[in-house]
Amino acid sequence: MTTLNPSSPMVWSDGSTDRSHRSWLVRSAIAIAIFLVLIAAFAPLLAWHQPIVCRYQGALYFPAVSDTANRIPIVGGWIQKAKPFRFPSFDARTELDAFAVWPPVPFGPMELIADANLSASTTHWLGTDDRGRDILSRMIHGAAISVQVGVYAMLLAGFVGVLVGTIAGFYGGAADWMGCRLIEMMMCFPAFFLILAVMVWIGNGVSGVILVIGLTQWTGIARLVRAEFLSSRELDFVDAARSYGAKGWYIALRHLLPGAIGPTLVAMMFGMADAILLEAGLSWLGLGVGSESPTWGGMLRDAFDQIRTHPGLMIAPCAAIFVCVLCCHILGEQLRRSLDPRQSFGGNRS
Amino acid sequence: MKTAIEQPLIEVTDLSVRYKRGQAPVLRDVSFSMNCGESIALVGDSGCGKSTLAMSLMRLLPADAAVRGSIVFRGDGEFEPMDLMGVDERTMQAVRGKHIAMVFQNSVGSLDPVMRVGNQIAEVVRVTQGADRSTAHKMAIKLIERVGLPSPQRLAQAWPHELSGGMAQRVGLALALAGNPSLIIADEPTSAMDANVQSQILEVFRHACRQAGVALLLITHDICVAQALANRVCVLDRGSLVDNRPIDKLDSPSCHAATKRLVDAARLKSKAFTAIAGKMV
Repeated sequence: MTTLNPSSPMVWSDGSTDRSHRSWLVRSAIAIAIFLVLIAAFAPLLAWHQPIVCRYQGALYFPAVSDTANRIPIVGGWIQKAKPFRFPSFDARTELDAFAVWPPVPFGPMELIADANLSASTTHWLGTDDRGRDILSRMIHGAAISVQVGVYAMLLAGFVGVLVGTIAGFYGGAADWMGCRLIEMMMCFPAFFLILAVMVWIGNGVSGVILVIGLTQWTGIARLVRAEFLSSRELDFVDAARSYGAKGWYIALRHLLPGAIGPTLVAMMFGMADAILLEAGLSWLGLGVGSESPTWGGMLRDAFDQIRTHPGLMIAPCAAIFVCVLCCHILGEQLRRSLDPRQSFGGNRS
Repeated sequence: MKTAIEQPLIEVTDLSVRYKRGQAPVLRDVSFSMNCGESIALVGDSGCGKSTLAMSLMRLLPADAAVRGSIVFRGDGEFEPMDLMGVDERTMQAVRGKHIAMVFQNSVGSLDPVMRVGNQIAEVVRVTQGADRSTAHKMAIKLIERVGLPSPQRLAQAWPHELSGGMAQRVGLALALAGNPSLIIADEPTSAMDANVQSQILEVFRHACRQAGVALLLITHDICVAQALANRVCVLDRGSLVDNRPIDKLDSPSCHAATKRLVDAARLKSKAFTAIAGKMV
C-alpha cells in the first residue's frame, strides 16, 4: 500500500499503463489486431468489383464507399446504393469508360475474373484460385468475416455470460442453482457438434454463425463472473454499501460488476480466438457462412482439394488463421497480466 | 440537535439475537435508549455481541440470525416513530445511510477498490439525498474537508489503495456523514490504528459529530477510547447489557464486575505507559 503524499502529484505506480515496458511481441500483436480490424472495416475500399469514385452518365458515384457504409451494424441497413450499381447484372468494368478510381485490388471476392490457378503477378498479387477468383481480394473479405464473427460472437457471449453469472453469483440460492445447472448443461454438449447440428438446421449465413457461436461459448465467462461475484460479495465494502442504503441490484451493477469486468475481458479475448477457429472449422466443412462467401476456412478447403497440384494455395489462409488466433492469445495474455492486481506493482515488466 | 431532548432518538427493548448454527444466544434481552446528539460507548470484551448489536440496529445481520425484540427509531422528527424490526426491506434501505449510518473497523476494506474516493462519497450523497451529479460532487469535496483531510480536490480523485488506514477511516466518516444521518454507529473505528492516529481520528469524530448534531454509538473494547468520545457507557458482558452509566461514574462501587474489569485493564495500561514514560525522561 502506498501512502498518499500531499505534496507530490498522484501517479499510477503500476506498469500496466506504462507503454514503454510492453514487449515487441505484444506491440506487434496490437499492431496486427488494429491492422485486421481496419481491413475488416474498410474491405470494400481495399478490394471490390466496383470503383471508389466514378463518373457515370455525367454524375459522380461512390459505389465502394456506400458498400463500406452498408456494413456498419444497424444504421448501415438504411443506406441505399445508387441505382445502376445496385443491380448484380451491372458490370462496372465494361460500362464505365470515363473517370474512375478503383480500389488497390480492383477485383471482387466472388468475381470469376481470370484463369484458374494463376500464380502471383502484378495484376493478381497472390494469384487466383481454382475458379479464377483473386486470392488477395478473398483474403481481405475473409478477414472481414473472421473479425465480424470473432467480435460479435464474443460480444453476445459476453453479454449472456455476464447476465447469467451476475444473477447466479449475486442472488445465490435457487438462482445460483439454476444458473449452475444451465452452465453445466451447456458445457456437457460437445460445442462443435452442437454448432454443426444447429448450422445444418438454420442454414448458412454470417449472423447464424455469430448467433450459434455466441450462444454456446458463454459458459466460461458466466462461471468467471459468478466466481468473482461470490468472492467479492462477502467483502466489507458490500456491507458498507448496504449500510449507506444502496439497493441489491445497484450494488451488483455499481460495485461488484466493475471488479468482474477485467476477467471477463480476458476470457472474451481468448474466446475470440476460439470463435475464429470455430468459424474456420465450420467453413471448412461447408456449413459456415456459405460456400460462395470468402472465408479463410472455405479458402483452405478449396486449396486442400488441389494440395497435390497447387500446394501454394494453402499458405495465405493458413498463415492468416494462425496469425489471427495467435494475436488474440497474446493480447488476452497481456490483458490478463495488466489487469491482475497481484502483478500490478512492477510485476509485468515483460 | 433537531428535536426535544426528552424524546429518545432510538429505543432498544429486549433485543435478543441467536444464530441458527450456534447454540447460545449472542444477545440476551438488551435494552437501552439514546437521545439526540448523545454519544454512547458500547464497551465489552471480544465476542460479547457488540458488533451483532450494531448490525442488528442496521438490520444487516446474516440471513440465519433470529432476532427478537423491538427497536423504535424516532429519527429527527421527519416521520412517525417506527419499529425497525417490523418494517420491510424497502423502508430499511431508506433508513440506512439517511437516518442511521455506519463506520466500519476495516476502513480500507469498506471502500470499493475500483471506485475513486470522491465518487464513492458523491454516490452516497446521490442515493440518500437525491442530489444531481455536480451538486453531489461539490458536497463530497466539502465532506472531505470536514473530516480534516488535506487537499480535498485531489483526494477526491484518489483510489482507496492509495490511502493510509487513518485517511481511509476519515473517508469512512465522510461517507457516514454524507447522508446527513441523526445516528452514526461506529464499529471499532480506531482498533486497527496506532495510538497517535487513533487520537487524531477520535478528535475528528468528536468534532464532526458535535458540529452536525449527530448521535454517536461508539463500539469499542477500549474504555480509554470510550472516555475520549462518549458521555455514557453501556457495558456488554456475554450478550447481556450489565451496566449503563455516565462516563464519569465508572469509579462508583455499584459498578458491575465486568465494568470494573475493563476499567482495571485500562488503568493497568496507563500505569505501564507512565512507567515507560518515566524511564524515557
